[in-house]
Amino acid sequence: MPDAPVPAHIRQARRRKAFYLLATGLFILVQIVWIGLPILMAVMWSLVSGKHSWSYPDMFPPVLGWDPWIYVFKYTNIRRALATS
Amino acid sequence: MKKDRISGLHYLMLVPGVGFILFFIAVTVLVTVARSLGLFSITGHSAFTLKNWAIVATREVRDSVLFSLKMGVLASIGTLLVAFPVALFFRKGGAGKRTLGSLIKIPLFIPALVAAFLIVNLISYHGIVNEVLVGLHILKEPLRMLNDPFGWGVVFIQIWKNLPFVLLILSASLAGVHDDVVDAARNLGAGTWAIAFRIYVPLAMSGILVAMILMFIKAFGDFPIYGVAGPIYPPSISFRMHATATLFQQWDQSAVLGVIIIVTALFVVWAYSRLAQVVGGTE
Repeated sequence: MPDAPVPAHIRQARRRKAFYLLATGLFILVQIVWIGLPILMAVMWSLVSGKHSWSYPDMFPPVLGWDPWIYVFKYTNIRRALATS
Repeated sequence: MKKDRISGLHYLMLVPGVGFILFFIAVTVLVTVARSLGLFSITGHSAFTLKNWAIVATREVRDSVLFSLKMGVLASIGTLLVAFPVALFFRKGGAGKRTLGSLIKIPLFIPALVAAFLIVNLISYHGIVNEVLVGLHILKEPLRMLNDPFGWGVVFIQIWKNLPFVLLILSASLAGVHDDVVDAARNLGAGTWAIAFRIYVPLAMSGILVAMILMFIKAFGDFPIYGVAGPIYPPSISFRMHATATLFQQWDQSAVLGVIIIVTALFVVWAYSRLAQVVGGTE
């Protein structure tokens, strides 16, 4: 006996579910790029090694290091600024 | 029944509330207005004069006012266009939406100056956005998005920074739309677009207007985002106000610009509230 055809409303519900899943997936991807990328870029910039600059056409810093952090805490008034803020 | 008489004690009891408003808000605004008219001058002789207001007629000030107006309008419309579909997406609960909702609110806790620097990393001439667009052969050469003459960079950062703020207002507004109304519309044959534009938008109009007012005022009076990503000329009106006071030591003229910002913000609030009355049908 051939399978009974799937009723139209169930097909529609399945399509809608698939659409919502796709939309959620796309939204998560956009969110990662929208929020995650700017923050990731800032974190990477704060970890660029002092002796190896990060410039075009490198997609990522060639060498990572704590140099910017060390510089800021050693030579600037960051502690006082932090306390004031 | 004995009618209470209003005594001095009653007025005294109003002091904590009204006194605070009068002292910290009204007085500061009045002093700014008076300073723009030559009174309470902190750098020279105090005497009533209208000559400070002559700067309004200069091309530089006019350009700054127009630039800030443009930023206010574009940022409020842009943020709304991005935030509204997102607010609709978040309206119904679902798997992972709580986590996504928290993620999208991150820019709310990032100061505007830091947000501007974060986005600068992306939209600079050899930033990741340009590199990807050139890599995909969508662009032949990188676009100048940072410090561009029009101010698109500023608009983009405003949208990024203020999306969660507008989203909170819109979400609260959309939460007030009953599912029954949406179901009834769907039952009568309304499609997705018809439901969005003829059910959600009109019923959330009060929230939309509030979000646009607040967004306009934020973007109109913006200082840090312009300072990082704005065009070389014209400066935003807040930036010009700061430069006029500290760089040129023209504190009275700077007060004129301050009054323009306050009056514009008040005018926009008034205009939107009139609009809300018309849209809401109470007029």
